[in-house]
Amino acid sequence: MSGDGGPLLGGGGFFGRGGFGPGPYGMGPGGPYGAWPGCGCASLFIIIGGMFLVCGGFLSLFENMFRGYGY
Amino acid sequence: MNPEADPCHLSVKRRGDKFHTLFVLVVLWTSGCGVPWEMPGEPPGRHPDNRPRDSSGEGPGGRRQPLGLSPSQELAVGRRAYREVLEEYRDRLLPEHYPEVQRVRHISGKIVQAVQIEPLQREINLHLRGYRFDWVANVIRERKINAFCLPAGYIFVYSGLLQITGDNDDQVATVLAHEIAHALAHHASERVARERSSDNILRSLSYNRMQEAEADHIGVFLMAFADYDPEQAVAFWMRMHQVAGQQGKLPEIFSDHPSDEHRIRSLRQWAVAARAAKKAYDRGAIAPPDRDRRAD
Repeated sequence: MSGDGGPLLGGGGFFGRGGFGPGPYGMGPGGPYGAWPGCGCASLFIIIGGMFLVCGGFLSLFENMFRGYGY
Repeated sequence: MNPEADPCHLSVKRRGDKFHTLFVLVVLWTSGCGVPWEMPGEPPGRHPDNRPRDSSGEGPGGRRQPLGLSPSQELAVGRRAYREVLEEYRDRLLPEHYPEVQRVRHISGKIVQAVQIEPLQREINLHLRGYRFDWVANVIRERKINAFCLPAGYIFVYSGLLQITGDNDDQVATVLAHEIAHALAHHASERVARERSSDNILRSLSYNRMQEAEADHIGVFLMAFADYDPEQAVAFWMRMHQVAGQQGKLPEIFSDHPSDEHRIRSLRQWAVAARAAKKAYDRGAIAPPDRDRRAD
């Protein structure tokens, strides 16, 4: 960062990001071809996958707990 | 009591195994959906002659940009198209010594000099390494209010446009910077790649609007760094609306460059950013080159 706190030329801070997305010439979610996964949705799917892992772990834990009580 | 012999326990264990298997499959499926997809038919980030693209594979502003022509192909296409245009307009090309031609060449020359500023190239994310631009500007004696730039930098301006802009060099620079931006951003090559992978006309139309907006965006930055007033880009397009009202029809330039409130608003924002970028350059606030990116 420059001394006055503004962006430095060459880092894209003035021009910004272009093309896809809801920017000045973005055409909608995911780009000009509509809502295609793989651009922005990847993180969401990975998070959902992680939540399933955690849920699966808890269910295994509860299952083992019930086994321990002899049911 | 042996828990393994209890039928209820065994059925619970089987259901638990199936449940566990189902969860594993769902997790694998959702993780697999996180893998970026390629558009069908798109080139996998390589030039048609199989030389790899730059490491980022990105276009202006960092957007994804498939290209359909290698640098040598783009140059060949531009030169061939230039010969064809010269042949078509050979009786209407103004001689080089005419003031209009000298003026257009002077303004385009200043814009081309601005393109050489390396931090500006990085700021916009222009990829020019390996590309050759011949940068020639000509004026066609015709009343059309329009201009165009072929791949590899062959610029043509109709005299009708110069009559509208009058003595305002900033407004001439608006048009020239916009057209030069199309060449710098390799829009023709991108359209070749898109047309190969898509036969949907609606996609093609929206894609053209995106390229026009991008040329506006890059153009105002080029104007600012060439010491022209980027605010004049707004004034120019508002002037075009006035001309349309006076003549009772849209100038031809509108068919290729549709104008609306959204465009004017965007140009105002970009002009402010372009001015700020030029100020940063003048006071030396320049980011060091990124070691991980190929320097263009």
